Amino acid sequence: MATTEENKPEEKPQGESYEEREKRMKREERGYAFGANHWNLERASAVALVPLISTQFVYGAHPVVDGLLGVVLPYHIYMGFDSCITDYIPKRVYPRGYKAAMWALKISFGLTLWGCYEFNTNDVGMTEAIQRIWTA
Amino acid sequence: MLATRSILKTVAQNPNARALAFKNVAGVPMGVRHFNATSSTKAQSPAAETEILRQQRKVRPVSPHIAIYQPQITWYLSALHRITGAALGGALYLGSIGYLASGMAVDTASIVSAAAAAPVAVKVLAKTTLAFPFVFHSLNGVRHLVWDAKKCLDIKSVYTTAYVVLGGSVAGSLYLASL
Repeated sequence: MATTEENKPEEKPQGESYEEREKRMKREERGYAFGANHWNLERASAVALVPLISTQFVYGAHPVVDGLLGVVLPYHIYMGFDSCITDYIPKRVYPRGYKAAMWALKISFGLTLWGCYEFNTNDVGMTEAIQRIWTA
Repeated sequence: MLATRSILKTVAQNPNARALAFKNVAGVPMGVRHFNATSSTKAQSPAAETEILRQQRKVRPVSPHIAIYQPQITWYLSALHRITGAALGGALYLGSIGYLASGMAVDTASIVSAAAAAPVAVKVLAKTTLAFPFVFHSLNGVRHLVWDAKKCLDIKSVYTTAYVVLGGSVAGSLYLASL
């Protein structure tokens, strides 16, 4: 009978049995294709960052590089935080905490994308800003 | 009967209550956590037994893991990779959201002049503190991508690349701090 502190099921006052809970989680599992794509996208965003960041250091700021960075960098950070949440707030142990953390992450990701876009459009751009503050 | 904390506290404050609360603890000293296997006459429903198990798990101590594992460069660097990544990522996310929240009113020029006004020692210290996580995470990230390409996976190469990354991080952050 493997129930833990946080996982009090809300449906029946009796609570679902261990077997029923395992069956429900098996139904809601994501398939292997999702896992493979997750891994590929994680590595793709990491690999894409290598030329983006090195061209900045070599050639300085450029609006296209800033725009791309404003998308790829938040996405890379999102993947990283996704792994952290999966490790430290596991769904099996804290179902509501996991859901809340993932929603907070997704909303932050959207807001960061918007914020980077606005900064790149209204202000000098991410690379130029860091360069100026650094050499001030 | 569940040996919850409230009952234990009552028993600790009133020794006479002990005989009443725990009928089977004749020879056992106070303070020893006492969970009997229930006999068939006192056996409870599965839900109640799960409840006992749940109560036990809440007070059960966790065996030490991080504190006792031998320090090794493998997991130290892995932890540092995650910590630097989370710190840098959190900084970017919070900075962007703060920029939005301030109504896009933060002007680069104002930050630049504020940064320029700081004393030199503070500037160098701040730059080193910011540069090291960034350089380390980037170099260790390349090391991860090398592993994903199925190279340098034996223990000797892992240690060699670890030292290369550490040396490169120190050199890189010193260089960046000097800019």
